Amino acid sequence: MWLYQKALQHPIHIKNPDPRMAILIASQYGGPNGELGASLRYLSQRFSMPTEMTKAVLNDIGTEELGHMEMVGTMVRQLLKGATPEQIRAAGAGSYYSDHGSGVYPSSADGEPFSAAAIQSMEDAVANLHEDMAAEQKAKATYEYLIKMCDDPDVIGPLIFLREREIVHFQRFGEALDHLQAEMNGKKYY
Amino acid sequence: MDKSNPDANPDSGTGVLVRAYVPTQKQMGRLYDPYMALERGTKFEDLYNAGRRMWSGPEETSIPLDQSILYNQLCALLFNCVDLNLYLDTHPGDSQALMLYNSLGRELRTLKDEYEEAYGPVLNFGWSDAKLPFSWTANPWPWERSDY
Repeated sequence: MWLYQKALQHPIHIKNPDPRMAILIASQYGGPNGELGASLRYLSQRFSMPTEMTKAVLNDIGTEELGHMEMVGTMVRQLLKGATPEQIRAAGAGSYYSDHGSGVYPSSADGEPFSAAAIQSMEDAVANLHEDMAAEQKAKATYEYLIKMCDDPDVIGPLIFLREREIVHFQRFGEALDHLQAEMNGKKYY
Repeated sequence: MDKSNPDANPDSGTGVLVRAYVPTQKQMGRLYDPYMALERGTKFEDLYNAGRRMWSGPEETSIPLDQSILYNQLCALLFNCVDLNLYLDTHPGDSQALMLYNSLGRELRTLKDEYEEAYGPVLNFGWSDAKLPFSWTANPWPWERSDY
């Protein structure tokens, strides 16, 4: 069970709409390296995690990713809201508007709907943790690409925050992996 | 495993074949204050610096968070508790981190009361008191607020 907190993890207040940037950022909502996939990946993998540390890390990072999904959805909505359909079409976001208006839909920047095919969950904890570390690197790279394409400080601030979270998560997954492999090296096999 | 020190890791994987290895963060090290932590995305200066070394992009947000705003204060404490929670997940024997986690948690719960008096419940499903008309449903929701 989850408890919702009526606050974003990092405040977001975007004053100038930018429909093209909205579509690009939406990829971190429902794209291949996005936050929806991240939360589903970790929250699914945690069921077969064998140790106290790995269960906690997967559960807690998976939960934090739900908050990141909310942050990215907030950015998409605020970047679209206030733009006229003409502006949206002129910005090259007309195909998104045709299907979703100014709503928030989980798809990649190319318009590919969210797919669980971009994530993996196995019983094997070591395989899962390697996947998770790779996922954090891919999400970090995506945030860097987005920051490079963006010139609005209202948008860059939350993106820099999210990039750093990928680094912290990578570190914690790495620590959990080392701890798990040390235990496996000791006596127990999982 | 050394049971007296749950963080000790005698079988750490450095130098072992066919085994990926990320060194464990030895200690918390220098810590950012709650607002700087929220702006930079971590409480830990060492982790921020490690991330900086991998990239030459812009520093933290060029618009510093206004610390006089209750919502920003709430976000800052919530975030600091998350980052410390993750640290404690992989450092379950770090007493200094535990003390800081509990002390920030107490600050958070005090601030939550003050915030809820002004803006309504932060939590629902019974975890915060509500008022009539049911104040949980009242605006603003976090994705559309611009009053902070």
